Amino acid sequence: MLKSNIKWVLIFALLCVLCITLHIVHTKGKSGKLAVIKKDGETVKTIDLSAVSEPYEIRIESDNGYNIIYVEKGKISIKDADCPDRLCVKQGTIENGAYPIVCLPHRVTVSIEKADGEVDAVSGGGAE
Amino acid sequence: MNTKKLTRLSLLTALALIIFIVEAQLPPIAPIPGIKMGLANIITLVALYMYGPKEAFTVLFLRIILGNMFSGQVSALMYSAAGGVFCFAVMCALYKILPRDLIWVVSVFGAIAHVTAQVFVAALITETPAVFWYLPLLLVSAVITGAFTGLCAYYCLKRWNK
Amino acid sequence: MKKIIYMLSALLALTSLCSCSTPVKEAQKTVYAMGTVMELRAYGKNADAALSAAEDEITRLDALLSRGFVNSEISEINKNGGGEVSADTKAILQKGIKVSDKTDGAFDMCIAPLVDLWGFYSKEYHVPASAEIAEILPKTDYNNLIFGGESVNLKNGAELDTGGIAKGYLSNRVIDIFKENGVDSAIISLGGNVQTLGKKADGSLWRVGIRDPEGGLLGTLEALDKAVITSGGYQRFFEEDGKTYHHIIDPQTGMPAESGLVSVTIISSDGAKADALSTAVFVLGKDKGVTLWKNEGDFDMVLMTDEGNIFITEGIKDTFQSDYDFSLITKE
Repeated sequence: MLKSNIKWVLIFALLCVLCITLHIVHTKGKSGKLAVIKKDGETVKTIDLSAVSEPYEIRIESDNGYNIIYVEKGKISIKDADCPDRLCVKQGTIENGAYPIVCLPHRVTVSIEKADGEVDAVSGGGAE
Repeated sequence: MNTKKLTRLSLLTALALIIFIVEAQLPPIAPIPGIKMGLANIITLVALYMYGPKEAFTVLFLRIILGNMFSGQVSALMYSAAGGVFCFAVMCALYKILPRDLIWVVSVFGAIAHVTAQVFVAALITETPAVFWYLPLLLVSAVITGAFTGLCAYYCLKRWNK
Repeated sequence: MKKIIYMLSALLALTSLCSCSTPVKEAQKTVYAMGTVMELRAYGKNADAALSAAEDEITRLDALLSRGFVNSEISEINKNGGGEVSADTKAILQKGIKVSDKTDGAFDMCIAPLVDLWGFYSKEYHVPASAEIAEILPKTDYNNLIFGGESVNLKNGAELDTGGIAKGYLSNRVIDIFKENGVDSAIISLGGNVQTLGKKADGSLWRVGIRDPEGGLLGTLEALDKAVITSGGYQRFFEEDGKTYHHIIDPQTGMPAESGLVSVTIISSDGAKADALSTAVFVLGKDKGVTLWKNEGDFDMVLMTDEGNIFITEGIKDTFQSDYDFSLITKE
């Protein structure tokens, strides 16, 4: 029995090493500046983090409660929330696209993506 | 179902509920959503080895529904249920194949199934595929917490059943 | 045991029947006027009040300037062959005539009878006979418009139509009303005529896309307190005998302008000027448009030719982005 125990310990240890390697590789070299706040899977706000001059807060209301998002130059975090576990707050600040901040109870995510051609309005695009 | 069995299963459900609710009140062990000890799984494992899949599933089902209601996390029910059911399916498949001394391996696989299902549901509900990048970290935590709960179940069974 | 499970399942189903959405704070309004859709977005304490004031102004100016309303000021002037003008019409005429003078009449506020002839107002499109056009051309010369400061006279049976500049003037007015109401960040699109005020809440600049006649965007640019107005033949056109005819009529020929440009975008702090210029440059073509830009110097342009080449003027070179290649026009 001892033998098979060791076999399984080795297998799981290998899995852990693999996962940690993957995690480190993924976290490294991630850049981005466009923060996307989603609620229920729908984008409620897109913020160009590189263009933030003064830090400010955004309050996201959902049926289950609120999340207060703190926007700084190049980073974003959830400052306060009334969800039961408050994991989104404890997760701290993100400044790259490696991991989104997730508040599962409120179905809110804050992620950072590469800035691309998102526009606020289209000229010549209206129905005549 | 005889009275003794009913009483024992009720007791196990109550125990699982208590563990679940107490654990929900404890501060999270890591600042990443989805990482928790999963101590209530000890009871699911015990029920599985003592009585079999049908009885263990009843205990698990009641614990998830009641537990989420008591702790006021109805919104977390979906994740909890998806993880719990998938985890249970994997453990059922393995507990017949692997020898009794390897409960901890069954438990680790169950935990792995649990976090994988949770990540899938989370990605689906929040429509944020980037959530999948949590999986490596969650798998590491699943190995550790799974092994721990598995060993707990192993020693519980040793004392209760002789 | 089964009963309990059923009951719990029912409870579970009930509790999952929650969660809807409430939007993030932002004042927004859609107004239908001047035959188009107008989207207004404003940020600030008084954004709501500013939006209703803006809507009132849109309704007021629509009623004042529309050729379609029998009682509008423009209709009265056309009926009487002239008359006194209100402050708004005065401002529009002053700006419009300036652009007409500078573009040799490529922008023409007397063009309406020609546009009617082609059926672009009634939407009963048809290609007129050349004799029909020749007959009407003397009426549609912008020199028929005699503006004396407080009153206007129309010669040779000309008719006044502010359609080529009214939306731009209106967007100036909306932005002014926003400012008066303490709004410091806004973006409006009056049927594709975009104008911006200040910066976004996060401190970045508004990013405006320019529609590609083929679909999608031909490019994007950042606009700080600017109107971004595009004229293109793709916006309204019809087909007859396999040939396409668009709605921008060259006042010289009476035919849809064929200057080699398919899209002209003007970026200017003055919406009315940008509106008039976008039509004028579309009629004039690239070379004359560039000469005009060099002489004027207070606006920028994005031009797309019928061969798909994109040209931009140097004032926007730092913020213009495109998936396509583009050439820079400099003053040298």
